[in-house]
Amino acid sequence: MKEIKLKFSGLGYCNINQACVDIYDECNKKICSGKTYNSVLKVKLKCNKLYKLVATSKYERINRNFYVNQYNNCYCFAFPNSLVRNNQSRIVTLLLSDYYYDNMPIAKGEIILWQK
Amino acid sequence: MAKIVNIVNGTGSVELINGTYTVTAEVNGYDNATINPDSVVVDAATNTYSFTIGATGTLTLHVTEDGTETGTAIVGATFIRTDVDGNEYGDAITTDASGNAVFNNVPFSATDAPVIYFKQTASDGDHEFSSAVQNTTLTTDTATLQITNTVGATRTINITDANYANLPIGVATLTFTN
Repeated sequence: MKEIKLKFSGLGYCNINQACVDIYDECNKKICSGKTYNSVLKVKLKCNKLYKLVATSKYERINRNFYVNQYNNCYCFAFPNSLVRNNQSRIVTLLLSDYYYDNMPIAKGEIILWQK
Repeated sequence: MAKIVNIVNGTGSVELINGTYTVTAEVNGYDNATINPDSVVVDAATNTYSFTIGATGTLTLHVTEDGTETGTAIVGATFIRTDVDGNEYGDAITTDASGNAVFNNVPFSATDAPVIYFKQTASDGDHEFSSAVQNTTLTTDTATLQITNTVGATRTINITDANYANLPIGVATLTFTN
């Protein structure tokens, strides 16, 4: 057994609990699971074995087979749709005016956006 | 993760990905619960999103000849809210029989209250007024501001014959329209 790092791209800006990961052996038996932190999950697996990874983020689920050899300690996976989604990030403009005085701009303040 | 957008003069920008967002506001002097809409869907087709927010303060302008609480009331004087440059917003308000004109839904705050700009656009026809942009702040939810509209000064009007220098016209009526 050795500790390896599973690294995921496409998880965006969140830094905790971004994706749930399950690892299965060749017999499709779940051998470990965990949640990513800063896009990374560390697990202990046997070398020279084939594993199946099922990872579920807020927006999508991926299913990948990977082989753990004795040389590599880090394996990378991508959430493809999330990568596209993150790439859609762009500058948007917010306008804030007084409800009771048409088009009167609010001189100073903050709008806070919380992604659902 | 929250995205905080600083608003200056009604505008702010932020880098966002598509998605649905809950919206809250922090605007001093306003009722932050009135932010509208309180949820927004950011999509690829739109880059500008508009929001409104309301306040609950009341500013009364009391217009008299001498600018005191007990002065002679001016009826029919009109005011409108503006920005610092004099651009007008909302509907004009008019003084009633007591000389009071009321701006409803204006911002107030005990500290760092937003500046409220307004200007007078007319008086009753018999009194002088300043059309300059004026301003005040409300530290409580209601306030009254005294405004002076002085009696128009008596002016002497001379009319003479255009063809005979200094020959006064015996009887005439002149009409001045403002």
